[in-house]
Amino acid sequence: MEEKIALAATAIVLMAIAFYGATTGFDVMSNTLAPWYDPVVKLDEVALAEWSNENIPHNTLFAGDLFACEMLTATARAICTVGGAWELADNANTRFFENEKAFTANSSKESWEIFKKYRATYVLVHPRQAFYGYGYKQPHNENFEEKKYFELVKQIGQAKLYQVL
Amino acid sequence: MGKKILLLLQAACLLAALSFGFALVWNGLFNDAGYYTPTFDNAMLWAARARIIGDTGHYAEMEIVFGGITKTYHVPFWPSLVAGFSALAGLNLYWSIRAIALLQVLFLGGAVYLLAKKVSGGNKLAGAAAVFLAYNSPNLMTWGTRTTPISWGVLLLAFGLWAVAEKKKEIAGVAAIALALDHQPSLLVFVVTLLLFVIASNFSKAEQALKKKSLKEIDLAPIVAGIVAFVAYMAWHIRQTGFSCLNFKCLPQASAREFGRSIELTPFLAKFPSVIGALGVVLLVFATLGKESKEKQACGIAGVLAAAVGVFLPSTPLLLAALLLLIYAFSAMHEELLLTCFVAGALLLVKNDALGFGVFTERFLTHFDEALAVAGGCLVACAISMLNNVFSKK
Repeated sequence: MEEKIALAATAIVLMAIAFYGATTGFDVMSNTLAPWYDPVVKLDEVALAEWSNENIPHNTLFAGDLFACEMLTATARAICTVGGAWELADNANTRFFENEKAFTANSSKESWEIFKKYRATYVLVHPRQAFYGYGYKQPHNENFEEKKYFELVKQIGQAKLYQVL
Repeated sequence: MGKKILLLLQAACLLAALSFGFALVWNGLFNDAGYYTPTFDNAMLWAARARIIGDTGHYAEMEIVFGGITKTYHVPFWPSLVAGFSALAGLNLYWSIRAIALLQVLFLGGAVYLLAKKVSGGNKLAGAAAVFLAYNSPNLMTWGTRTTPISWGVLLLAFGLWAVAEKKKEIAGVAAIALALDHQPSLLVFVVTLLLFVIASNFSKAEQALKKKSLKEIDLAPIVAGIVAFVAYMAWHIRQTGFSCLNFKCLPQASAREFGRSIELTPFLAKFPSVIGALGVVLLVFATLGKESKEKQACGIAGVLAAAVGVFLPSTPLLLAALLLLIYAFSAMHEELLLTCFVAGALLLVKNDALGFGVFTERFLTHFDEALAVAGGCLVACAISMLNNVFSKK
């Protein structure tokens, strides 16, 4: 009798796994996990980071949004102005606030002053909405066109790398 | 013949469950992430730390974001693993991360299988069911599939507890070292679980051991694992902060304290798969306490009732009292007590706001769901055992 019960229970569990997994479980779980697998950054940003890895000294300080920054640390072997693990950083809130301000400022001079304050050498710019500190924001990329403060070093697709002068 | 068919069916259950988890990660890496590895969360920072180890042979001693001016406090297990795998397998960084993520989800399933099978008295079906429940937990899989240390944290937690359940103190010690150097919240769940387990299981034995002046009465595996985990972590802590920070108050995260919201357990435990785990704990009381003293049976039933009322009211003090009753009820057992302590330890950390801390509460739902998945597996074993009892009496 024990063997029959075990066989029946195993068959029921197998059918439950197969049925629930195929009809509901996979969709529910893959949709739940999808945002966490999001690359967020764009292919042209990655390509620009790879170019930086080849052409810019490693451990140089870059500025970007949170996700571009983290991608730059891994791909361009760079240091960046913001990133995750904020709880382990010194003055993380101030740094987030000013990083966002630098990308959304109303003037090139204001952006430049903030980047200079934090000694950022390069700025990775992309027209996508980005997470500079607090929520997704549209950057004021026209600020970087001012040649007095920024020099375009490389462009791949829509991604641009500027040097802070 | 029947046994062979049973074995095949059990293997099919485990294979189906593991395939489910593997497919989830495959879909995430190659459909959702697609052209790149995930950058959401802080996955790329960990990729960078692995790259630095691969490039230099040394751990990144400084943070690589926020200007790179802060000495790091991150633990080195995961990036070292990725760098080592990359060097040995000859894969580049991102393919190494993908391969490790795919392997990791299978290892997580394996660890949950071993633990649930052991806790349920060797029931393979319970192990397979626990794996499937674990893979269906949004909390566990959101973090258990990250390309970051937490994914190995939840895996090492289950594996370490399995080693403790098997009384394999060398393996438990190695798992404890890896866990201590991988992920602090998972380490905390491990240590709290072991602390509860050691106190509850050895309280009555300690006097006998002292009288006989022999440690034979004492189960050393959880003690070794707990001490090794503590020493390994403190060694890292002192390496990074010196002797002036033994109270941890110097750490930036102590000042920039991340408050956690208070978790409402009623809706949480009403959802699949958590509800299966909660029922598993209830059924464990009724299925296994039959041979215990009347006092312990009464404590078990009172614990279940108090837990039910505590969840529905909701009342955290009642819930904590229920956990104490359940731990006492199982205190003469081994595997059942370990599972109860795992559930209780994770729950204590989820509800740490009730203890006056209120830190990282929701993060521990990951571990609570892991404990519940194991308990859910036990539900299957208990149900089979109860059915056997009913039919054998007839």
